[in-house]
Amino acid sequence: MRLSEFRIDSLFLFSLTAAVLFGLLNLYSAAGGQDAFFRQAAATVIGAAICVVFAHTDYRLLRRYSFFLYLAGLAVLALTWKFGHEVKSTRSWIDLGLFSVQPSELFKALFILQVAAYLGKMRPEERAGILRGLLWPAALMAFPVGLVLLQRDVGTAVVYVPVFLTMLLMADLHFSLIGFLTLIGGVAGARICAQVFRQSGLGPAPLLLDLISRPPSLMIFLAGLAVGGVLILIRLRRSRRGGALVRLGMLVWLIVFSGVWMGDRVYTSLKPHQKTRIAAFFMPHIDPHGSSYQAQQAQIAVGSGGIFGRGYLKGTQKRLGFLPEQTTDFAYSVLAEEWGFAGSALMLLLYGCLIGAALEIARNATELYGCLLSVGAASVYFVHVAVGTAMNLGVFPVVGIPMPFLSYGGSAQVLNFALAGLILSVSKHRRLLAA
Amino acid sequence: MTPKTRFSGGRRLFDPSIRIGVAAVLVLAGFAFLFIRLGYIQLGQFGGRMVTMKDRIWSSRYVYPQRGRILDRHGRVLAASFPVVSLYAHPHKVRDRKKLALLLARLELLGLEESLERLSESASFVWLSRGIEKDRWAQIRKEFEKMEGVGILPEYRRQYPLGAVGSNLIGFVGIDGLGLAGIEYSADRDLAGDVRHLKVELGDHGMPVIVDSEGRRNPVFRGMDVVLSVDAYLQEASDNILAETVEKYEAQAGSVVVMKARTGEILAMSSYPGYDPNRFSEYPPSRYLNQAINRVFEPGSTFKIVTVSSVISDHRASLKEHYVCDGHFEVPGTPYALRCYASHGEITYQRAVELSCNVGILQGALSLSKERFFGMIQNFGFGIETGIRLPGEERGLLRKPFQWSLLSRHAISIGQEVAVTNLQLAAAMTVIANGGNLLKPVVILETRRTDDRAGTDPPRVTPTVVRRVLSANVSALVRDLLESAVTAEDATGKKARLPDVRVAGKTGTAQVAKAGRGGYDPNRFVSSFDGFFPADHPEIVISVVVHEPNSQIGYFGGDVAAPAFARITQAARKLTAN
Repeated sequence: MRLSEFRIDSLFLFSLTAAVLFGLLNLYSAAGGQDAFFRQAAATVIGAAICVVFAHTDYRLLRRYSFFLYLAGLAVLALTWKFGHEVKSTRSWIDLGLFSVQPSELFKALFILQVAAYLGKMRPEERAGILRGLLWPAALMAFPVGLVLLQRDVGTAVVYVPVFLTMLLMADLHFSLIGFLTLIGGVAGARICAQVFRQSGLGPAPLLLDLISRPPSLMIFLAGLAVGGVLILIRLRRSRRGGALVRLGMLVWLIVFSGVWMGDRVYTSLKPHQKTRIAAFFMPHIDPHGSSYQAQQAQIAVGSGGIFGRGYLKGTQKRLGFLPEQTTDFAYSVLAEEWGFAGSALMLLLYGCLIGAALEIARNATELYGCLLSVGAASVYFVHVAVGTAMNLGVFPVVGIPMPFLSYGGSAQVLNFALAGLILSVSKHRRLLAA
Repeated sequence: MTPKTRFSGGRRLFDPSIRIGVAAVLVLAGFAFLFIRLGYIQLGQFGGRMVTMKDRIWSSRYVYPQRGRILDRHGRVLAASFPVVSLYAHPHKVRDRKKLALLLARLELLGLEESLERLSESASFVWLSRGIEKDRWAQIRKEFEKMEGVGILPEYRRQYPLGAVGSNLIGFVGIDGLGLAGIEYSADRDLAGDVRHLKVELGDHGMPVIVDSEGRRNPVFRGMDVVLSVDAYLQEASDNILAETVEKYEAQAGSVVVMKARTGEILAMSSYPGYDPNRFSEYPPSRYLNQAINRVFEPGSTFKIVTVSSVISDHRASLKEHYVCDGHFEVPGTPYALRCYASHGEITYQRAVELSCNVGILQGALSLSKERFFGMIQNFGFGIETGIRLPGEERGLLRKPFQWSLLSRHAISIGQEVAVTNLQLAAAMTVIANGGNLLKPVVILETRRTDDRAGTDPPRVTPTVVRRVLSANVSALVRDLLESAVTAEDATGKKARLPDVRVAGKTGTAQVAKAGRGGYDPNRFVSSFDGFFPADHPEIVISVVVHEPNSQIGYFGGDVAAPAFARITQAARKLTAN
């Protein structure tokens, strides 16, 4: 196959370099040539060095240490929660004097390493087991997500979930387990939305949402009632179908209960402005000066870009301070305004190439572990790109997720480079075992 | 390099192609959606429209302009506003009140108990500290970053660089930016500017973004600058001299008006006691009075300039006539007698003026009819406000002829039974000094936009002539009379003399009427001197009034006020010389 002659890691490396440079160029404009740009440049240098080191290290070496690294990372997360440095009421920073580090950002790499290591060595017959196939992996995700939620950093915490699910899918885990987790997530999400509606006095939520927003005790009572009813029915029937119903009832009860419980946990760690943002996403007219303001200004910025944009350093939305958080969440809007459709589509294309190349590298990986690493890293990119872009384009609530290589954030930059290093390592070392 | 062999080991243990394919399709779908959305926003019909007015977020805001400056005639700053920040709190949003209160106390912005009290109020908005200077705020802002429910608003603070100089004239501004006294009050609308109701676009964090016609961002709207006719140096000299005089004679109060004789411009207007407008709230409100216009008094002999001018303009020959002063004048038909401070014997009218002989002056005035005399007093501007743009100007007391008693015309001719302000006295003196015109006193030369021009030359003023009172000849005669009232050997005003300039003027030593009852208090006086210089070609009128000097130390106008007049004259001459 001649295509294999085409070095897929060259494409990856090219799109990586292009995205990094474009991102820095844009940040220089967005930050108005200020401090943020130089800090980001420094983080880029550090990240690139880490990337090179990772790329030249056989990723299989990391497999042995991944659980230890994972535990150490959890400890750091816990320490950050207890003693961390608070920025915008999120206690997820460690102040190292010269700069601050956001462990929850860097932990994503350790998380991927550990999940990949665990799923990679799983035997096919274990995949359908409740303990090894469901509870263990779920625990691997639950700890970091819980700790990051305790830090009141919902945006970062939520990213773990789709990444984890993608890796489960890739590991060929039983689809019903993935479905189970997804359902819990869905219930949790519905619960959060419903709570937002209830608490912010925005009028009644849609019917189903309204039902789920009742106090948990009521939910548990209703669920228990359902289960009890089912049990009684089975006693009466004593049929084999009854056994299946019992299991279904148990499952439904478990999904609803844990979904509602998780939803409440997430809801309580949401900051007030995040709650209103979620509400405003559904009903933009409720508060045009407040919550939907940012999204609207971002859309104006993107829209005013047109085909070729206003020109580098000439964005008026940015310059006049209409655009909030223009170095972080809305860096993409600055790019879209100044470079127009040509520039913003190019940036999306670069992201697409980056993720596509990572997937191709994953497909060609020697073993499942490498495949999972690469897919995990690619899914981290994808979640950030998709949510970030959608946020900038006004089709997703403003949750504050940094876009890879584009948004200002030293920890994120280093993490993205580290992930790139892992992917490159998977690509570089794929032949050794196969030979 | 080893040759590339994807399946070199034969069949791999796993084949993720299908699932990678699923993932790739999902990724593609995601990107496709984003591309479509991007294209829709940037290229679709929305493209151009997103930036139109309609889709932007507008808000109506009141924009409070920066208050204009008060400048003296040469552009020196008497009052100016500079931007500060004011710290406020929404008490119900403050999480840790104690922590905030401790922080405020540590930074010395607000006392601990006071801040705890304010933070426990049920109001949704309380001020914590107002008027924090920008530099200081830059240093301490970090401390407040983590505090919830605390915010700042930009404000302006009024500063008076010369402190107490001219305080009673300039006035002051309350903490909410309203002029409360003096020029600050009377020119408040010009200084404050229009509180504009602007439709502005909202920027980051809801901050309004205002772009003016020249494209400058967030321009500062300013009130008008008010240029006073006052000369800051002369004002300061006059303030100091008045204060020294009042303190030396342990007087209760005093005032000085320095006026340009030919234009009516007020060069200085001093009032004692004064206050520091930067800290006005620390003084009792009685100190805010401008003694030159807010206080009336019986002028006594200084008022004789009116009597003499009237007599001369009607009966020019009366100057040469002789009168006999035996120390008192029994008013016909009444049991009262008006007394002179000495028995002057047989004197001419000119001597009567020089010696300020009551009996002589009022005998001369016998030739005037009541109505004529009243009309002349009115012509000189008494009994009515001068119309200067200052708040609370008194009009004085001048009864109409049908209300006069048999005593009245005699009493009025020597400056009793009338009450005047110092400004009225000064304005009356300009009539004599400038050849017979009563001028409207001017204190505000112009209001102009800030930075319109940086020139230090005072703007030209066209004097407003209220009316012509005396002919040129008569005023010249009166001028000579008033000069001799200073220059004559035994003249009452001899202490106003200066070696190198000819001055003219009239002293006044009035008794203060007893409160409630008729008659005068034997120990309370108003000492005054109303004069001008140079006597042959008068430029500047100066009127000094000292209320209730300690009679043990001295109370004659010639002793108390005349020396102050001389010193202010010297100060004024230094200014006009260069």
